[in-house]
Amino acid sequence: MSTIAHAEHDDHGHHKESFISKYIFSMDHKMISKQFLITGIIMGIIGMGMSIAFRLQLAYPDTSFPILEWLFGSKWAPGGILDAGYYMALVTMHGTIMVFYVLTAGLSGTFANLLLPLQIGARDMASPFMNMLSYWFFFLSSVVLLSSLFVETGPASGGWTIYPPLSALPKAMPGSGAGMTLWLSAIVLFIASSLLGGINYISTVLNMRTKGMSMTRLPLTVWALFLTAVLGLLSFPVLLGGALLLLFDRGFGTSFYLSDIYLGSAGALEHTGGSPVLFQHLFWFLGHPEVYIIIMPALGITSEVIAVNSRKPIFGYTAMVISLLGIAFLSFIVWGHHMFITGMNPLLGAVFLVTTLIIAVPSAVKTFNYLATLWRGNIRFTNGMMFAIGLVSFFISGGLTGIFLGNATLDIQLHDTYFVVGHFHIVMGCAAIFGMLAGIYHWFPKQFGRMLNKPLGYIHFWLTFISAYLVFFPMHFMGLAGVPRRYYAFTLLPEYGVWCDVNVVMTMAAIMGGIAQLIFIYNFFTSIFFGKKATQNPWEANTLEWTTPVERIHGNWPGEIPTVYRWAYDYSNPAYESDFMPQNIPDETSDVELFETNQGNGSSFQELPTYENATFFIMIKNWFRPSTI
Amino acid sequence: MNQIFLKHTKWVFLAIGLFLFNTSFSAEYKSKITTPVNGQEATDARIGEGSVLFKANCTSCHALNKKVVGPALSGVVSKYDGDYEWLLSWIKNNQKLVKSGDERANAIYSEYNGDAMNIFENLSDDEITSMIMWIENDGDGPVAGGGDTIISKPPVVSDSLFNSINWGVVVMSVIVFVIILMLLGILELVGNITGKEIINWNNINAYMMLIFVFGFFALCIYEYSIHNQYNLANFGSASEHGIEMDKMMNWTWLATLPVFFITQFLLFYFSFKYRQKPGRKAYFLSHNNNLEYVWTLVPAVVLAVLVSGGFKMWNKILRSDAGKDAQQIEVFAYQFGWNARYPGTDNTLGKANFNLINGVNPLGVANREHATELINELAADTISYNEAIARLPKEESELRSKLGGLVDEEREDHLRKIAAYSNGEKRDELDMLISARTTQIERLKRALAVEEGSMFTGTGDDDMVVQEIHLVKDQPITMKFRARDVIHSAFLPYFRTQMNVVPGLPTEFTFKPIKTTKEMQAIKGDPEFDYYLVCNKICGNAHFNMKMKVVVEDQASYDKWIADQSALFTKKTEEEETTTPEIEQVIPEAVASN
Repeated sequence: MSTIAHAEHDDHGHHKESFISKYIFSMDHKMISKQFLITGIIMGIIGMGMSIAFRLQLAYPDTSFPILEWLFGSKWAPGGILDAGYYMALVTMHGTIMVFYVLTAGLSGTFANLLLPLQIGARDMASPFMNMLSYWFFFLSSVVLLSSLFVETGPASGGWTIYPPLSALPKAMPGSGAGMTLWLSAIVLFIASSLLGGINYISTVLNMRTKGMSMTRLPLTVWALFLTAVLGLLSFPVLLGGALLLLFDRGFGTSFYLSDIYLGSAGALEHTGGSPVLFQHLFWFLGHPEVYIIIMPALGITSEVIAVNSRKPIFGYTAMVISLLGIAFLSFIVWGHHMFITGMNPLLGAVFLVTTLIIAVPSAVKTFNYLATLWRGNIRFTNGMMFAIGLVSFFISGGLTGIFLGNATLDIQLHDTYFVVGHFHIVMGCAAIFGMLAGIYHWFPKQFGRMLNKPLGYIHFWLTFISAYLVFFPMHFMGLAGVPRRYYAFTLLPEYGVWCDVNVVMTMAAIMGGIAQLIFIYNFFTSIFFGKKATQNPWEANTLEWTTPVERIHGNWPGEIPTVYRWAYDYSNPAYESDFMPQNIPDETSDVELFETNQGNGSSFQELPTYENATFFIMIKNWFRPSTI
Repeated sequence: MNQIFLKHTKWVFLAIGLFLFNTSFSAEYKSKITTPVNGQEATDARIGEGSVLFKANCTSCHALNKKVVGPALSGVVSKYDGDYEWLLSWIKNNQKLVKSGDERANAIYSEYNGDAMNIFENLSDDEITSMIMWIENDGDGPVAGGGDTIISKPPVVSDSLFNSINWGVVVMSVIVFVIILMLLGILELVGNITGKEIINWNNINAYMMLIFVFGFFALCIYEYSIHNQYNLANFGSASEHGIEMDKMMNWTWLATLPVFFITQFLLFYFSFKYRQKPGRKAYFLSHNNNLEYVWTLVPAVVLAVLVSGGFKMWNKILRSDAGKDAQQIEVFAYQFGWNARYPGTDNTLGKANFNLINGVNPLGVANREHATELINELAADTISYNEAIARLPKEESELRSKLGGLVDEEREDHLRKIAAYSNGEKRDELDMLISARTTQIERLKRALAVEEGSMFTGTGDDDMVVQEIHLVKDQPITMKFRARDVIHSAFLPYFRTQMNVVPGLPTEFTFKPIKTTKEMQAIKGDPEFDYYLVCNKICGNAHFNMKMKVVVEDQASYDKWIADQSALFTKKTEEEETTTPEIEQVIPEAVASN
């Protein structure tokens, strides 16, 4: 239906829009992607600022920083020294903001909105209105979350995993009061946003591909974003359930997660029969796919950026798609590795150990394929390419430490130590941020019609890359020495005092990384207005988004939507003189007749007769039809 | 009598001695005179006793000169205008004071955002006074007293770095940065005009990649050389299963490190080697199935080996019956500290229940007399809550009458206080407490009435609740974990042991310690080293201060230690055998109406 609606847009792409409908309640996917990106960047600045604040505490535990008092007020940082409870609150908010608001909404929201319609050749999303709602739910959610910084008892402070009973009992810690209620409300809104977006992404990819864009010709970005949306759609509702039950426990006296509790301030509670471990199951049933919701778009972006800038087809396209499918499937049966020692039946631990280590195989395949893509390429170090290479480096380092943590036996020792902090910050924190930055640098010309400043981008990359390793690499050694995470200070444990100087180095590196991001933000916002004008296809890439005009028009293509004749990775094909062949250029060399079934009827896919009585397997077979090059 | 006399003579001598000392030396020795507390002399013995008690009960939340989670305690007596009785009742049961509407108590409670202090009804007035003596006499020294991070090595960067930022340097570096940028801009402009790129960014970055990978490896090795000395594996495991775990860790290193170095090297080396050169075209290679099979299967096989090893070990550590005959102790976690419970002569841990917890029975061990007393205590509580409810209208009208004359913030504060009354918040809170107490009384009565399978078997009477875990070398031990309030995690890094402590879900871990504390001290070359049980799951504001000492020793020292521990209830049951208290039927009407 929406395709019909958009067909009418063809010849009046430039109709008048008011300021509000163009910039605020816009239904254009490109504008929504900008909204997601800029909100994500702002949330990212806040999240990173918080991390520097608590890193100051870790490095200089008894030193006064007047700036902290100025920022957080004398209540939370009396005399410039962070309060222990507020330290926890900052850690919690940092985790929540980074995981959900920056790396889920900021990353998927930006690039799914920008790239899905452009790369599959659609005029907009399946439902532009839902798309707009998705952003505004996200915006509302961000506001609710940030508003918790201003409540009297402080924001949520039980860790971003908000395990009950700590989070369920307002009397267990100040942060479990109004701050926690706001946190849960924010997450409920966030999930609504994520589901609205996810349904939209999935239906767009399945139904709105242009002529000739079979599933096997999809760029890997689209595959990654599509599977990410599927993961989100299947797992976020579980967290929604978990969060609602937690709200009931908090407000209505139910006992889903509570049992046998005596609180110092309230005596024996009435709750019986609940199980705190139930919440952990519900949480990690989202929580683990969430890790892949974060990293898969980044991997997809990297695949695209590395292929374009190596001037080579991505190595093993089919293997890349299969490994994405494998990761997506396996990510649903590994959540228990976050819970090996939570009191869950040890038998389950043994099962999750097996599934967890299996997921390392598709991840390894992806890494080797990236290396093979670089091999004998003709590499252009654009800013985006630098960040993509950085992602691969992080993915290797962090992936390998995952093998330690996924092994339940070693997890007994390493669980909740700094080893874990180092591991996940590298593999899903830094790697995903680098994927996001690679995407921003790569598609900035498409999004804003101008180029980012290249030298600034290089300085940004090297400072960020080096500082990220300096911050997170030493954490592995702290973990091996048994230093627990989420400790405000080592006041009663003299043994850990030796790490103070390491903490100083890490904090300095974190500040360096922070300054590097300021350079980026300066570059980003000035380039939007004053950057060099972009050409239509600055990176000489094959995908369809580079066939649209530089200036933003509603409906993406001024004329007809281009037809796709080849896969997205025809780089340096010896059959052609040029080292790239955009997907919309007809393929004379191919002897396979392309549209034997649906030629001439103007639509794709839906009309394929095989699909009318298709079995799942025929569908899969069709998706993976041999490539036509 | 004789004792008192001795005590006094000692003090007379001490006082005379101090007097002489004081007059002959300068004022800096004045602090040697102990500050009396509540009219009682602060003897060394009492200060010593206070020190021990303070460290066992208070340090996770309080320091002397610094706010930790609770306030700094130095000068605590004068802080409350010397109202010593109030201070005692606050320490014993702060919640009772808060609920009774005490203004000062409520002010502190809200200043700390309702983060309530624990209840210490188990401490006698004298014991509390001893602790206050220790506090008032500067704790362990004029500066010390906890709260400050213990830094074993001076930080590499000076503390004052941030406080004395050299703004000149900052401005200079910004200027230099801007100049570099302008230079780059000019070069780019020149490049645009001449049509040639002046700076070959591609080459610069390619060489940077190569430099980076070597720098990165050098950093890894440097890092290893300085920080791996703290790796627990260096000291050997203090538990039997830990030896196998360390081996598995080594195998995993062996499998992952080569992959790390090779793939990282290839990544950056390829980036460098295959940088763009004019006139060259990339090698078109879309896939190679054989190659892909290889790098799917090799990791799969390596991982299969690691999986099977991990699987076996996991089952051996957590799912075997090997530790069935191990000695059992209970480890109990609460906000913010640990307790351990050892079985007495009957070698059986008595049953325990959260409904039985109170100040004198912090673990809620089942004992019929205690339960009966508790019921009466709870009933008294409900009465006082009902009284508090009856007082509410009066308090509200009093507050309202004071409203006039207040302005701005004070007025708003006051209005907020009134609102808590008028919107029923206060009433709801008290109602909930009454309901909780009533339920608790019902549960206790029901439990007491049970005849078969009753938890009041008396096996817990001789249990010993201790603040330190003592283990015997080479003797397997099963720690049974129980949490009072929220999830904690019992982490014993040297024993390669960790298990979450979950309210409502019993967990346990069996292991065999194989190195005594002394042996580990020798290995580490640190005579002050001790094993600690620390909390490793975020559990509240003082999470980072939750620890308990663990001592591993030979049988003889263990026997000596355990003989010094006193049973939880034995004494009471012997003395009061005949005078078992009865439940007083004092459930007030208001409860019935609820």
